[in-house]
Amino acid sequence: MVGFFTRKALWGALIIFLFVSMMFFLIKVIVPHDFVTQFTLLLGPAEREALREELGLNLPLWEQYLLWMKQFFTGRLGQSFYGYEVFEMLKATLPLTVLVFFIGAGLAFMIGIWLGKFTAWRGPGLLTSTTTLTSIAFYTAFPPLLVWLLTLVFAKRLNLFRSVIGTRTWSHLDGEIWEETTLTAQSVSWYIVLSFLVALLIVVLVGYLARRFFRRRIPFLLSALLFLLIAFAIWHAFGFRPHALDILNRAALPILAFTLLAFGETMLIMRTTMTDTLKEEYVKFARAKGIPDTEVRDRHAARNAIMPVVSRVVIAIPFLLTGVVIIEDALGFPGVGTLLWDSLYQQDMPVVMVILLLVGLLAIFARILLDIFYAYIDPRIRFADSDAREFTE
Amino acid sequence: MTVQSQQSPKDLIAAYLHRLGIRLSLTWHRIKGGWGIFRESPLAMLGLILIIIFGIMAIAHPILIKTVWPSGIYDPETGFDGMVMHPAPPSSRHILGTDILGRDVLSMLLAATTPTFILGITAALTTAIIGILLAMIAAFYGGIVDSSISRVSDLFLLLPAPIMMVIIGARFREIGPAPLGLFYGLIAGIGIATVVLRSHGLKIMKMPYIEAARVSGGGATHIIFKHLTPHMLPLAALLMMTAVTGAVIADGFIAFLGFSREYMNWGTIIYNSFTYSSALSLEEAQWNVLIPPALALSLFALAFYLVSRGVHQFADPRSTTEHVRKSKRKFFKVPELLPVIKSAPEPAVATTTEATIPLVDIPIYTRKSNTFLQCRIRIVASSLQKNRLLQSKDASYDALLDAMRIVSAHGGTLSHADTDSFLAYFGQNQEYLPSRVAALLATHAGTALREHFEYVNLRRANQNLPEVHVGIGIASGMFIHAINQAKEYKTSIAFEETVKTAEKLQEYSFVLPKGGMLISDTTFENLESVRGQFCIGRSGPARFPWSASESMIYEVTGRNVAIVKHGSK
Repeated sequence: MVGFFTRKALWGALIIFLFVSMMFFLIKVIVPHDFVTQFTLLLGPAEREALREELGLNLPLWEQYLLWMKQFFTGRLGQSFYGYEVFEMLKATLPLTVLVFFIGAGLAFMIGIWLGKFTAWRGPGLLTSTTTLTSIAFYTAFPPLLVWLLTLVFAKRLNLFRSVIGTRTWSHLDGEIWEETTLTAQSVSWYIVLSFLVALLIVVLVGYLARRFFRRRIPFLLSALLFLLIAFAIWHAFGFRPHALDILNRAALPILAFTLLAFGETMLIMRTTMTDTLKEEYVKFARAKGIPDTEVRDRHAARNAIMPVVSRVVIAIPFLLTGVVIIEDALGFPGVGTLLWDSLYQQDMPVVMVILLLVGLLAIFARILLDIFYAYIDPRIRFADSDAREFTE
Repeated sequence: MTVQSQQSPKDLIAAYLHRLGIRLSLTWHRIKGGWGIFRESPLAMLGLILIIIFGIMAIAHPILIKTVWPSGIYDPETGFDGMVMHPAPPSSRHILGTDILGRDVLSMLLAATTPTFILGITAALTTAIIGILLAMIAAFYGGIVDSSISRVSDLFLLLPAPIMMVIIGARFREIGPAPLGLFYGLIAGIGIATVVLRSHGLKIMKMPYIEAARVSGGGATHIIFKHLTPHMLPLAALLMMTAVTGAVIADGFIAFLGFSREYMNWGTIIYNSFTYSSALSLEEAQWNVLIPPALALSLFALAFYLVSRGVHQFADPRSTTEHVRKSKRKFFKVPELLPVIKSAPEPAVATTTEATIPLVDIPIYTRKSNTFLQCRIRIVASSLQKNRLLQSKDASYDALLDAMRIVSAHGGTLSHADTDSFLAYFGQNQEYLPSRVAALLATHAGTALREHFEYVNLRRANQNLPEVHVGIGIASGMFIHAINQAKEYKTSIAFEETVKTAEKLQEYSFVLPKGGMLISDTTFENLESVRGQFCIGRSGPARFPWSASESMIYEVTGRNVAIVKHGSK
């Protein structure tokens, strides 16, 4: 067990080290010259040399590399070419993206799992083909097209959500509720994510206690209702309920678009693994015992089918984040994605690289967590080759 | 003095052509089998039709420009129609209307198809080539090579290929579709393709035929190119299709963001429509310009994804066996039940004063499985009486009786016996025997027969007697067992195909040198969990006259475990 965790931790450290190094060399390759020649055209040669010395650009490559590593591991993310701290830029944009990503990915995962389970259980037929085709169509849709259609339907025709197209920054949120508070969109987004986590924890705990002491399973709809109620109660208790609702209203379109874009993959993988699981002997045995069909589907088949889906989704995290980033730009939602593309317009490579680094780090940590979780629930993995997971769809 | 080769160059070329012909026909058979599976999926066919339509679009544009469309009006870059106001709504002159600069939307749409194809195909080929190369090196050499390659691919898995492509497109604005596709292929190939293909390659390296190739002296190049690579190709085809999807969407997005490049692109049309129309809100946007390219992009990606799912059907060995099983099931459909129902006795009707109550005694139909073993034993001699075993010179040796003894020792029941052949069935007992057990018993009986006759042949060789050949064919199938509640009426009907398959397999097996034993694919599947008890030899597809599709047949060469010990007195 200890050996397994050591191995995993070493693997993670090695990958992070390699990834950060790769980013350094990518910057060197992609940025045509150095910062000074590119952006300080008005300075004289002597001043340029001084600036180079100040930024450490006159050092040999390996010393620059060491400097970059030192900066990274001491938590300093560096400066953008326009003089802002990258850390500050991220602080202003990250919370909104985190909000969209976690809610959207969670919804997409649940919808995908449910649809995959349902279609696999039904077997081939018209309904299954239609669902599959719809999922694939959403999965391969050009994201801007999806965003326009959603904006037209939900924001223009139905007037449900606020259209966010064209608003690139949220430094000042309009509306009365934002005038007499010190709350910002960023802080409220963090609070929403935190309150959702707390609510999730409470719901899981309640479900566990109900199973343990009352031998009852709480139906899914009831848990969902409980979850929403708890979240709502937290917002109300801490006095930012209207603000949270306003933020959620603004974030609804990107969340919806991301959910539609992302659920297809989960659904397709779930359908494949579930179809395989249904052929297993224990499913036949459970049905032969006379256990109700829904119970066989949910507890015997789906639970075992879900594991490969989780690992595939975790591996696909960089691609899921790509989806968020593209949708944010198409909507003009002021998250990390918009920051990324705006920096690209301005050739502001440090910001771009830090964002890519962030995506990679998130993916690595998710994979390490997944491995530990797997090892916890399945002892076979601790002793086997952990890389030999199933990758085929 | 040099020794001249016996073979003239002509002979060598002829031999080479012959080998090439065999190889080509094998490939053709494989493609045909794959196509048969692919055709059954309506979604995959839809994708293929979409791709064909896009292909026609790509070809149509230069032809239209040369013939029907005057290039001054319809040129995708500089065309302008002085006869209509711009932007124009769809009309007969401009089927999809024009954009604000007066360019025909349909012409732009068609012109953007070729670069998209170039990009997609480059990305797909690069992904596949890099993926296969790295994966086969990793899977073949293992150890430190494998672990370092998989570390690198782990690293590339963290880079989102679409975002990297946009960064490259933004940095090098004059980059063409082919280098861009190459770049996508590089990242996807080292990343996801290597991971997927490597895990598949590791499975292949554990297969017995790799072992056989090693034992018979095959070198690294031989094993990699003759055994490893061909098995990776279907999965690589699948990855190629998904690479097209990713690359095309990302490419459209580069242009959509305005990192506009030299070539016409569906994303460019959207970007231009937004930029030149100065329409900031969606309500003022020109839908006849926005929707067609966005839809074309989505459909292009969709088409390749659907085809990839069709390819997956035969690329994945698990789904292939499933398919064969499914196509087999066509034989056992309801019409087979009809004669049984017709021949069932009429229900008795008892009349009472109150009403007529029909006492319907419905037969219960159950489906069971059994396995047939068709065996033929002959003495092979050059004499005139070579065929009839019982009438041959050494009639003192009753080979058929020995064989029957062995079969009944394994629980088989004799159905038909001829002078030199017999048909036995396994699993059709009073009690229910699972299909696996029936197949297991039959295959063990078959191997026991072969072992027995090998021993007999050794003895006969010492006595200068002619050899005894035994040919065995085993096929499994379902039969319908009908029994009414009063247990008066009982019948069971085996499907003719199963028996015919067993006979046919027996005929085939007799052609093998020194006889042999062939089993059908259903038997092979039934044996699934106990297959380790047998040594499976060659296998290949065979077409039976009564069957629409091909099915695999397998040769059993021996066994590892004996379940019945029959004493040889």
